[in-house]
Amino acid sequence: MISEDDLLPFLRRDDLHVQLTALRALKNSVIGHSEQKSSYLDRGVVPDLLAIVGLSSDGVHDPLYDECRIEAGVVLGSFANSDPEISSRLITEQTFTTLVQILNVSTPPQLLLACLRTLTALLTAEASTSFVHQYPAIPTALATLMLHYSVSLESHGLTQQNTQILTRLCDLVPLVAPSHSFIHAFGLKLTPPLVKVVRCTILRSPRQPPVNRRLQSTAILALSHVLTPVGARELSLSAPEFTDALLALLRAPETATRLSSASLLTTLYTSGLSDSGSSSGVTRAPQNEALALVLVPTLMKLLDDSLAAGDDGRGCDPQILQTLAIVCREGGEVADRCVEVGLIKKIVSVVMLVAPNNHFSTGRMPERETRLLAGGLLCLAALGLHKEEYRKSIIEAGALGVVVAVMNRASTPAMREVKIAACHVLRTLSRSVLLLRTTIVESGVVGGVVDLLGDPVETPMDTTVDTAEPELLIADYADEKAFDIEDKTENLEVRAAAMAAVCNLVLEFSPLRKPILDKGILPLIVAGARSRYAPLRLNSVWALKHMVYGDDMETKAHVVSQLSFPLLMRLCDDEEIQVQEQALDFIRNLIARSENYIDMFLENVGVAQVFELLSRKLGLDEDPNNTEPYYTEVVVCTAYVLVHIAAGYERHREVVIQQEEILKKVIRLMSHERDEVRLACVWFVINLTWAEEAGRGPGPEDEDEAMSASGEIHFTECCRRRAEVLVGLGLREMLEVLKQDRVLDVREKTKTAVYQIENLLGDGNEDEAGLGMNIDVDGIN
Amino acid sequence: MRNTFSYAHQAQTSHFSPSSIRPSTSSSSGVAHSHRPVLERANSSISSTASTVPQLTPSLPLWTRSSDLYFTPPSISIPVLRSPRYAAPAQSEPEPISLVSYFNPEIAMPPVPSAELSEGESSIVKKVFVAPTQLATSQKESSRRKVVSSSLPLPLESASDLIHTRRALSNSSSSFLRSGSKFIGTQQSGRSTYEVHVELKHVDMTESFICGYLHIQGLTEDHPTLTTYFEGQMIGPKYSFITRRRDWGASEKTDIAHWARFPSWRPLAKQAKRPDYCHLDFEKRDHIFMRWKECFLVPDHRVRDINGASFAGFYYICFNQLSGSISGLYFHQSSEKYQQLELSHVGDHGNYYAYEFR
Repeated sequence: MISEDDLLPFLRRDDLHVQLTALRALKNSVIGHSEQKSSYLDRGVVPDLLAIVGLSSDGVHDPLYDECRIEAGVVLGSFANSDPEISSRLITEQTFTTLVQILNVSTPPQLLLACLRTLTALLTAEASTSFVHQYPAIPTALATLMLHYSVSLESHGLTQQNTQILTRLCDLVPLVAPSHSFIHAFGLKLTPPLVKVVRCTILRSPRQPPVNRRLQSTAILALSHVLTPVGARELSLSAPEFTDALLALLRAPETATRLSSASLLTTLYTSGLSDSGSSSGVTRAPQNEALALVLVPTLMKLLDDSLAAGDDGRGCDPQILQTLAIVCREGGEVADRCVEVGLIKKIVSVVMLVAPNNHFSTGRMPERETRLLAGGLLCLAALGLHKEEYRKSIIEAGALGVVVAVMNRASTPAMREVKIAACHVLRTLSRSVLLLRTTIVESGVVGGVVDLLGDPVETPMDTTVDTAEPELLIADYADEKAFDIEDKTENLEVRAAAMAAVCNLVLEFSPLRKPILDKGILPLIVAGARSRYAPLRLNSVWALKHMVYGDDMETKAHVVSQLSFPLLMRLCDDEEIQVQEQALDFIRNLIARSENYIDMFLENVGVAQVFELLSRKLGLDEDPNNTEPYYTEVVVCTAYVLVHIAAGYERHREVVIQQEEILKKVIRLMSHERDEVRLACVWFVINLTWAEEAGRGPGPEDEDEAMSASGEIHFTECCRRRAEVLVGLGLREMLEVLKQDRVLDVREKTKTAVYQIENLLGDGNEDEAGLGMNIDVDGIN
Repeated sequence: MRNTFSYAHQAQTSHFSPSSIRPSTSSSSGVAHSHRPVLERANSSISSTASTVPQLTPSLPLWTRSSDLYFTPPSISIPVLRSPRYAAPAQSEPEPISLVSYFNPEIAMPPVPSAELSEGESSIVKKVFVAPTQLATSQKESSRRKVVSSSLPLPLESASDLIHTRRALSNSSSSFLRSGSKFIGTQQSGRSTYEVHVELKHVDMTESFICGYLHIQGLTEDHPTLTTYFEGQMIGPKYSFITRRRDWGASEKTDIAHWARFPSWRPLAKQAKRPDYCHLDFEKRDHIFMRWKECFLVPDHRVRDINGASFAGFYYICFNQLSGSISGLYFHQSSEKYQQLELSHVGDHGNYYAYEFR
């Protein structure tokens, strides 16, 4: 027997027998006694325990070593599973490093189990979004252990200990990488072992021993957490019996089983392919929607049951809301069905129950309620993506007040996910001109969303419009670094979500545009466009594109004064294709209906560079080894940049007509499968061959000439030459085909183009061609 | 929107004649738009924000007018091809040679299966290819070969975003009917004519939805210009010709009476009166029928009453997809019947601004 006060020195003894005795005594004295735990923590017991747990036996197989390590592990687990005040004192880098190190197959199973228990408790108490980032070895370690401990699962069942270990391993999966930004690499490693475990637990013949239900549901949840859309598609295609078994589990008596199988089925059914032709931007096999409909009653029943429980829904499993959010984000009949049975009101009631009720409360929200709030808000955001009716119902139910309250609350790590979800709600609700102009403008949301964009940044360039010179924009650019290289990814996630909401709020018809811009966020948006974090870059360029949408020349000038052309060009070649699309659309908006900006663009970038870029983006390159992706959306915005340049002054048209490579490509693209591309090509031709009326002239510097009759003839002559160039490249044949296009609009615009060309080249008579200008042409008027 | 004072006493005669699709420019208010509206420039006087928009001047920093940087006189560098009328195109021009190799049936791939491409896989590169619909060699048939490209992968998921961002892609069936389109014309109420501008703010064909601003000038003395936000329902599978909105005050009878005043509706009359009629493929037809309902005033939506004006009714709209012209009839139980709206599209030369709700 050792006196309790003397235990600590004994832990440091080399004599393993003494150490073991001390550890056992320590275990008996702390388990169930918070004061004892607290006192030992004060005396610094943790490093000692970690040292023992992390001992390596160096090839010597002394059972005493292992016993000491196991006892120390159990004591640590006891500390971790205590009050938050005690467990939080264990959360140190040293603890995690030691625990992660021993996640390997040579660790004694009992120790492993104790460690897993400790890790689970600590990560539940304080979610770390980037745990997997800090400990990159952990996915492989978990995958190896899963394979190791599930060997006998298929054949003759598991021992109780192995079942526990496997369950703990699965429990750990969502905790280690709660954030979806890390899922990709993580998921690839963990999907195969998890598929194996799930398969073994759900596909069992009657002769096999019954499976542990808890292992089954945690494994299913873990798999649904790590499955990437690609993996989900492969899985649902390769193993139909897999989905059948999951469907059967929807009727299981245990809530956890029903919920987990509904979650996994949701992941499997909603892993659509991107498709800009469909309203939601994705295509799914039609049967998938029917299957997803099966999930609605299960999920709604789970939600109703939790709402009916004594605590008004506080006890609702956040996973239910998250799963409903994923089901609803696809829209269509599934979302309709959910709304019909009152999902919006139910969710808003949960959200209001757990939401912070005033802006100044700083009290810490329980972790569970935070997840519940985030899940509820995500669900509302998902519904708001699609239908105006839903958006109106969400607002009528009072959700906007919660969004504003959440945004205005102090930023803590725990509130992060909630704030992101609130940004999504604001973003999807503001997909409505009506709501922007009415409820949202009155909600007082501006301050909150601007604060989330981050701290004001020092701009590398002079921001004042009057003093900057064109050269300034290019100078110093090479030295420029991404401003947020030091920022943590989780901060960037919040910023990206807020920026996504800003995209809609700064639209020309939004009354929030001015108040937001008055807060001086333009430098923040431009800084976002330089971010290393692609989603923030995308949303920032998107917001910039919306700022130069419309005829607000003041804002355009302001934006251009801050965004340098070299940066713009770099964004056009961004490694993320969506960023390229938005950058090209930015140019398209910038130069629309404004010859001045066409000039500015061409001069600052250089004519050769502009057309080299546009030619590249049009695709159709002759090099058969070219593996550049070829996307319709990029072709469309590039084509419209050309249309807009060709709608400029006479001299802009003259520059365009010299770009033979571009002309050939445009003519070739007239047989593009997508009507938007064909339409843009026809507009391009119309603009190049449109003989302007006298008054508008070719540009201020030629005004006098424009007014004279000889000037008019000169420009008609230029038009004719341009028509000849185009016809020489095979335009007539293409237009012949387009006259029969299946799309009415393309046919109509083709008529205009043909009419203009015939007028210019019809019989080679200049006067006749001039007459053509006075005839009403559809589409021009 | 209508004037609530002036016309109650006037005979309810219709000025609507089937042949006058074009807006009347000779009306008493002397609407000052030309017979042929030119391309509206951002800084033109039509713009409602013109007064606040400073012109770009050379004093702005980025802008110099040294056009000689890239302007080459056409007489020097434009290749002038004096080809005779309907001359066969130069044989050497039409197709880039190596592109033809894509048409080789041995190597040609089928049209892009979009399954190849998936969200979150931006590292996966996609090969450009051109799938032939016909392996023909003649010039005419070669121009029928489709150029094929694929849809973008889903936008990047912002982390921890269970809602991967789904795009709000808008699809438009017409160069005229798209977000940002502008129309100009008149509203004829009794003997008075008011100038009207309409700007479309959002068009969503899949939801049969349209919305925008309607500016009307000179309706009341206190307000030289009144602007309302309106929402429109397109008649199609989602919305029937029969309004079925008690709060809008239209009966089945008034619906038919108003639609029947549009010549292009008459061929549909017989079917459209059937209660189970569904107006399919509405976006592919020459005319799209709509109802436009003004909802509130812009900029301040809280202003409910304007002395002398009301927007309690709604418009029956016939939109001509070929010309971009719009005819409308205002309906409100207690106002003069068949006040008509005539608008024509303001030319934009394909200058389409691009926006997409995030």
